[in-house]
Amino acid sequence: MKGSLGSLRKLGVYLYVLPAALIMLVMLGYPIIYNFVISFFNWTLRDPEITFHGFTNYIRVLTDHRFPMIVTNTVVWTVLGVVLQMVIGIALALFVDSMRRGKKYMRTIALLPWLIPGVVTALMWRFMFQADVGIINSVLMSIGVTDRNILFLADPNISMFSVIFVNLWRATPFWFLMITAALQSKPIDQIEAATLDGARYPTILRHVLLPYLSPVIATTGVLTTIWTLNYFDLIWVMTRGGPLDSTSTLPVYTFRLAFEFNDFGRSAALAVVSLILVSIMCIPYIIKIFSNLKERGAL
Amino acid sequence: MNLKKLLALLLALVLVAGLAACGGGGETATTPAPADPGETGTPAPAPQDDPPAQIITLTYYGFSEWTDSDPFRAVYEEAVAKFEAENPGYRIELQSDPWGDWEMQYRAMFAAGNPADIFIVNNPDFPVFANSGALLNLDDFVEPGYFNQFFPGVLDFYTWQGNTMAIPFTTDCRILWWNRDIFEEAGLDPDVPPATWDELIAFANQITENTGSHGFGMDLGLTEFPAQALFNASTGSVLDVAADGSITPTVDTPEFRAYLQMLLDLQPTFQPDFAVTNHHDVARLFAAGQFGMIIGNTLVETDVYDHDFWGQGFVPRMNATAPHGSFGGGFGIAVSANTAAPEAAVRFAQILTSAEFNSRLISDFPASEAGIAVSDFAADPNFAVYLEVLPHARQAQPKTLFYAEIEAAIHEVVAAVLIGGMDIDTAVEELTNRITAVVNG
Repeated sequence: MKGSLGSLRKLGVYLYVLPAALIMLVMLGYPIIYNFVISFFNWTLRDPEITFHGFTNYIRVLTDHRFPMIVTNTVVWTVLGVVLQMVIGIALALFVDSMRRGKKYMRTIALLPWLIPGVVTALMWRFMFQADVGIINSVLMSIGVTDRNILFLADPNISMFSVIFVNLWRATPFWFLMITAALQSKPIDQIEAATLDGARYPTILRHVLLPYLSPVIATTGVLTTIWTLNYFDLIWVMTRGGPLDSTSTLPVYTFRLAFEFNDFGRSAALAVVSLILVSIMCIPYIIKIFSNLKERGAL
Repeated sequence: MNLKKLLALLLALVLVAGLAACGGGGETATTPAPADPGETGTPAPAPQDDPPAQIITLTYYGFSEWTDSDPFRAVYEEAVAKFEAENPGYRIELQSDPWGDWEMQYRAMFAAGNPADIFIVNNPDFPVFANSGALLNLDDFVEPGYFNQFFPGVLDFYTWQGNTMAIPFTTDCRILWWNRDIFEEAGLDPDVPPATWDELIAFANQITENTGSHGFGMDLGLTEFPAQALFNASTGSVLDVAADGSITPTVDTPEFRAYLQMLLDLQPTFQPDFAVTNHHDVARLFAAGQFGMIIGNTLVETDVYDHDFWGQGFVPRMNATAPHGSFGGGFGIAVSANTAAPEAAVRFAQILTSAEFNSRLISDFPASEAGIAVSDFAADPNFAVYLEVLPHARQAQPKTLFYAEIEAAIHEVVAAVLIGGMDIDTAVEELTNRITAVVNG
């Protein structure tokens, strides 16, 4: 009897999460499964017949001459972008948190880039980066940093770093926001105890603050990794993946396959590849989240 | 792993996968269901003249810069009112999206097998839609000789396998614009524009050397055939399409090699951001006095109309014996093969493309002599050159099902020559291989 009651209670726990799980499966699972299915079909707008294609779309995607560069670009864009966002976002949040005055003004100012729509951000920076009439080259030349225009978006060796910089400008405030929120309930007792024991700020940061922030860092890391990897608008508006595919990432090329080259099957196959890549890139974060949950006895 | 862990893991994976699907990469994953192949090939219902028993609403889909913006919106409404008065029992619902979204949306509509009844179609997309069976064969619904009123070259954009499947709506062309003030400053005659590629290079270099402006405002586009208008002022073509439909790349020609060499020779004279500059930006920069010359269309007009520093002329030709040429495209009005009322839908398409309405619905040129004759363009001397150049405008590649892929290949290879250091021989071979690969799937 006791055993049955226990099982029922356990079942009740799962019933609570069942509606949310069902909604997620229907709303999110269906498009993914549907995308997976069409990735096996020859579905182009030019062809009236939609036929089963086996793994042909995957083979074509993986042997596409652009594919190695696009995957490399995606990894650089995501890893470098997220790492820089994280480091600068955390540093900024800690700096603002340590300020005695003007915190709320700094928080408001730091959040501004996050409030601007991505397309507006992209257009704004595209004009500022423009070689002849852009303000950035004018400023750099006027202070003697360079004596000729830097091709921020037209030089294939620079363009990726230019778009990463713009995304950094736009997305860092999210990290700032999350870390700032977490710091509102930081363990003051531990910090004061460590201070009384003679610990300096780097030690407190390493042994108290960062461990305390690690669940937030992991969760924010998952979100920003997924968002950055899938971020399309900014690159599309600024460079359309060019020049010479130097800023072409998986979402950009997935879009081009479907809506420029009218090949929905191949686009779906590339979307599946993207999904796998996202999942792989998120594994460290998920492991961290699970280990945090385990430490708190939630698992 | 116990059940709790397993469930938590499952939820985490679904969440990650779901978030990933919500991003750009997953966007295509949520495109509507594929059309039933049989559906697109369904024969059109028989024409009907009698008013329907119930009101039938037909949708028109275009881009909002025309359909839903002043001064065109009122004319669209006037056309709708005329149609509804002449066709009792039918209503027209105007739908549109901004230019940037429109191209994606109308592809998605076709992919879903649910296109609007009447819609604007961009000429490079026409073969794709026509081949898919999504377009109504208009020859079955118009009187014989109806299409004779349109420019033959433009009409040819909209025929597929002998059938006319869209009505020409607009056309356009590119012309040479030059800045007379900059010409004078550079020591050039402000009344004499370059007539050939060699002169273009020489003039552009002279401007760059003697003034603070760039000699030429190169617009490589973002994914399009770079400076296509210049290439078209030769006898060159990058493709040959045989009568049986087989496609052969014709890249290794003196014309294409000369075109690449011309771009290389021009390189010191054009503004360096060409790889990410589109023709809108180039027009604005020309208006701001950044360039001595550009190749542009009527968009330039908007920026320079109130000034008098500019001159207009033919696109410089490959050499003195080459034919005049320019890049010209345009839009057609097509009718869905799935429309419930094909005859009525065709009648609305005919109203839109009639001389009475055509020129007032668009900012480009109407695709017929009659349309142009009643348009503002006919009386405005600022557009006189366009009317002379229009008959020489063409696409550099003949109609095929692979327009976008081939355009992208050309763009990439030309960009590789100009900013990637690729030599012309390699570029010609590379482009030939890429076109072959595209055509062979």
